[in-house]
Amino acid sequence: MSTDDRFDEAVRAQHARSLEHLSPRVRAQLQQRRRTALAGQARAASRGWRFALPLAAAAAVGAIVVGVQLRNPDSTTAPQVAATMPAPSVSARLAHVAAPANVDENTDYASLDESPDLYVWLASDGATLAME
Amino acid sequence: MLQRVTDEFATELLSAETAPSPEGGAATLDAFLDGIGPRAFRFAELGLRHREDALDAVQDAMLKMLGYRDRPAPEWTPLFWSILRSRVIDVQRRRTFRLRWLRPQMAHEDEDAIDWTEIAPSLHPGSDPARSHENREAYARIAAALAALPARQREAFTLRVLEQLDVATTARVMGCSEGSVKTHLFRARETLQAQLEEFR
Repeated sequence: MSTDDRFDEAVRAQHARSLEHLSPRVRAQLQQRRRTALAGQARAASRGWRFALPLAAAAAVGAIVVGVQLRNPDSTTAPQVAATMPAPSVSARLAHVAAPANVDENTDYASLDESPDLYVWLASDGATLAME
Repeated sequence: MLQRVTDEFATELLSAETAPSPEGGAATLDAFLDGIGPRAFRFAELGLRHREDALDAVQDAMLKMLGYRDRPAPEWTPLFWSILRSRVIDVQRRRTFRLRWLRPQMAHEDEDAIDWTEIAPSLHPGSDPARSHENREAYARIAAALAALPARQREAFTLRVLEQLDVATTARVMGCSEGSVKTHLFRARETLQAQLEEFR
């Protein structure tokens, strides 16, 4: 008997032993699947794609919701407030958001709107100002 | 495409002489599938290294065999191996695509260990637990070495040596020439003997 034949025989014997040691679970599955196949029934969808349809549906619903909100950005909770209260002016918003504690809101921020120096500067000659 | 190739192989196999096999004498397709089921599972397990995928592949092959129920029983064995081999390749390709594009980090996470159960001493009083454990370790080494082979070499060795198909039938099952089968088998033996010296 050649080396190849001895090797083949040894591996074949081990493979035969492996068939005797199949787990009861696999044996039961093989029986069940054989009966299912002989009944002409295809197996259920594979595990990897089992949740594909629900996930795709959820993703589609999410995309629709986001799309609707992007098309109509004012349709959030803001309209209820806007219906009862007028929108604050720009200066009022600035005063609310950025006013430090030690600043007089009535004088300093109002001066930004009405300072005459701005109009003087706009009307002046640029060269003259540069010389000064 | 794979379906058409499988059908072509099946047609070739139906016109070919077939090797005698343990399952060839089965009177009904039910008995044939019952006898070949465990061997088919081990074949698919070696190729896929995943218990559930292997069971799925075997079930698909069994379902497809229904189309050849009326063929002579000696033709069932090569037909079945041809179908199962194609099914294993199909699952491998699908899995490769899925893992590469969707879950690259999980490419090897869901590979199972080999299926093996210890025989209870109460059921088999003569069985030796230590010996059984050695057998399990030995088969695990064989399975690991086979799984590491290129697919064609693994198929050639499994069909030719473990399933004892003749060269011509193995060539038809694998869809290649007899010379290719011999080449694949030679290289497979060479690699396996280097890795499994205890079996030489």
